Amino acid sequence: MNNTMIKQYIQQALFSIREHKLQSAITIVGTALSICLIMVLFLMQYLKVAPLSPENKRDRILIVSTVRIDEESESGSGSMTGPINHNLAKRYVSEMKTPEVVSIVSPYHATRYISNPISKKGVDLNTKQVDANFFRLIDYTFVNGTPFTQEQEDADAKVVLLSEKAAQSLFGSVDVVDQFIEIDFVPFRVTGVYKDVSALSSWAYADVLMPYVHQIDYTQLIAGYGVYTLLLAKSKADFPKIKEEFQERMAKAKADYPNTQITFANQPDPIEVSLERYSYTTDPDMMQIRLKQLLLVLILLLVPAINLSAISQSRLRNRLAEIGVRRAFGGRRVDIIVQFLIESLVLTLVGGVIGLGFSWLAIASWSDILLNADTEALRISLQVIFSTTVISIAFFFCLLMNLLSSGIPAWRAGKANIVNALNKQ
Amino acid sequence: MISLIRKQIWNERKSNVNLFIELLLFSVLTWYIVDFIYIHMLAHFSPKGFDTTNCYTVGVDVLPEESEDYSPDASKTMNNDLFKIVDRLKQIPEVDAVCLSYRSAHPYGNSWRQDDFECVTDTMIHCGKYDIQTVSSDFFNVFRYRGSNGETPDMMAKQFESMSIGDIFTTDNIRKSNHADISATDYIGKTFRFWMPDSIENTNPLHTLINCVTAPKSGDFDLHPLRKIVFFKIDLTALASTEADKTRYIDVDLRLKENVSSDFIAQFIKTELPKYKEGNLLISNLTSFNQLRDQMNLATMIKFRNYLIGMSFLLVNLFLGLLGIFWFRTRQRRSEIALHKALGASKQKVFMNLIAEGVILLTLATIPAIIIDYFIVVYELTTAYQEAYFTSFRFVSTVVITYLLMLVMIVIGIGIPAWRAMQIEPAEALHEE
Repeated sequence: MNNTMIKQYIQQALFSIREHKLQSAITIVGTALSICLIMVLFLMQYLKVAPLSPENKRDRILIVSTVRIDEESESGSGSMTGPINHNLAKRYVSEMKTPEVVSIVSPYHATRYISNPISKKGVDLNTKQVDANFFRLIDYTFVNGTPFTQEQEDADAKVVLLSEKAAQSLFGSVDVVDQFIEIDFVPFRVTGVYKDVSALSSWAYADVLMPYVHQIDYTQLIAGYGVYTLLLAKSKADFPKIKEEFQERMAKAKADYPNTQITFANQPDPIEVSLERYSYTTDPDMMQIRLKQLLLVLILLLVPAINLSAISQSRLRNRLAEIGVRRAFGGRRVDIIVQFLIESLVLTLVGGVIGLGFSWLAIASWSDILLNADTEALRISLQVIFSTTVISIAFFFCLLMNLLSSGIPAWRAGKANIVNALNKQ
Repeated sequence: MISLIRKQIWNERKSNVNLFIELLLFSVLTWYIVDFIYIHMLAHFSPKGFDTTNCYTVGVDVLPEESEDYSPDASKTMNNDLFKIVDRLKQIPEVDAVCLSYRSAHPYGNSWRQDDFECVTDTMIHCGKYDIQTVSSDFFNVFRYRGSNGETPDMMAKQFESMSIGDIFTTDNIRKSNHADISATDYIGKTFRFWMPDSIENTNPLHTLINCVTAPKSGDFDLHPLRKIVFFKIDLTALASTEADKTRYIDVDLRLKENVSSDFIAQFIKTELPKYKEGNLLISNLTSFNQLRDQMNLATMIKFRNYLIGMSFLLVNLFLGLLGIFWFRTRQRRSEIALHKALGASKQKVFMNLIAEGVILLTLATIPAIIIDYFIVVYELTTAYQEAYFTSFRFVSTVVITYLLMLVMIVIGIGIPAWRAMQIEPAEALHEE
């Protein structure tokens, strides 16, 4: 097969589109609808899981999100369920050797009232408590100043970092290093200003970053706030080793506090597992989740494919005579099949491009509900959604869709009996 | 006419088998979604048992010790300072009622406290898990809880006010340990206590049931049976006399009067709120219950939206498919239809013949679809409503709704090509032939 042939097929396809306007329109709309929904599903997962700036190391991060600690002491028994507490994280997890970095951060954003003590101007901003190691995990771009240091963190220094947006709204400028702000009426010194982060980077996103307050009480294991522990592996291959070391550390904690029970299932989790984790006793059934997603994509592909194959079938029936002539003059079956597949691919691709366009539009305009993030802070960068990965995935689904909807009719056309075809039967 | 349609269907049997399978598949998928939407709508439109329009929760904050305004002396009078704030809120002419409750009592909350309860008089009845809510009497006024004998919220509040600490109100859906619901109102005046395993002597204090409240749902889309709640009276005298700070466990909620304009709250937050400071307590914000409700409904709304998109996807595809297939068919059968018309068939008859073909196919496909639907229900793959997967009313309604939705698509999808077929001029079409 050479280029002129392909060119000819495409020309024929375009002619066929003009000839059968309604059928073509149906094929295009059907394909566009299906590709749009598939791509929205893909983008929803992709934006949450893929390593994207400033969370460039997502694929190497393991997370401890939820645990249960049962403790029996002379003063009675107690239990704690939820994010791992700061005491346990700081004293046992942060000493782990296998990960490159261990970072302890507050699990949720907290909206707090932040004010400029001089101008008395105040706003509600999204704050997050992090440790100094956090900046080795997330690649913030600093416009001014630097992140706070380990020493400052250890000394419980009252320092903060502001996003550009926060600095602008409080001071009207980003040049605010060493200025003071008040958080819930307590003064803090600004040490740096970083570029705004999209809310899609759920770890990195915050208007104000402040150091974790150390509250170490060694008498009880259950002490301190709940935190998320992020472990950065040197490479993905280290994941099993890190899990093993984590279990050892938890066993050590249990040995130090004999009447204690720590339940954490198979944590730490890679990000895609962590997003599905709701329980500290059982791991999310990833197999089932993937199967469900696969089933959904299959329905989204098959439903229009069944439809469209009926339409391609009728289109081919109209052209039986043409097929008969070509076969009589020595055209091979495979040529006919390839010709029809390429012809219908033109239609599928037109639909695919429209579908992909609409999926971008949907993600951009309904991101708040589709991605559970507030739109204002979303700022999905065009680089991310116009990436070659996204486009190739869409192209792959178009090919699949084309094969599903036109494969059987094309194959049938290819094997049509010459005499019958010429007789239009 | 019937025999004609039968012939039509038979002649196109190859393409009709495809269409039949397609209709069957679409019918089952659409039904599944219809069922999900149906029970959620049912839940949404059933009475909630409370009313939060015009209600706001008051954000009370404690000054941190680092603050300049912090007063160490006032740290011992926190509870009384809270009461002062509540009294001041009650003075506002636009405010209808203000109530206090221990955390997790107010509607659309995200935490709750539960315990087992039993009735101790005559035959011992174990009532099972109850939500425990400790509230002030105005709680019934703010959230408009009604009595199960039709008492107004105000009557409930007055009765609650006059009863002694330790007496209780419950919701009217007491359930025996053998899971039969009994009428709680018959137990008014009898005593209850928290349950303990039989092996231990139950030393829990006794509580007299004073009146019953209409049982509420726990949220707008609550698919579970109604909530079982026992209401205790908040002991304000005890709180006033203790130095221990309980304010962080107490919610303050208020209701505005009916005719208050919506700008009032925004204006109030801006100008009046900063003035509400007593000791180390201050009001930081007023949050509308609509906001709490939306937060609680968010997950369901997202699911709801996904299912709606799924249903639209299916129906649009069905429409496109039928449009395509019948467009082609009417073109193929041009001469046949022309001949038909030449032999005296009216325009309407040509139209109806085509539509009837689709409707018959749909009806045929619906029969096996119902069987599949039924097995999906039997294997509990759908969502339970009021602890049941199957009720005949729900099943019949969802099947009928599905059939009607698909019928609409058939009428539009086939209607367009059929309308075109109607316009065929017999003379022209036959001449072409």
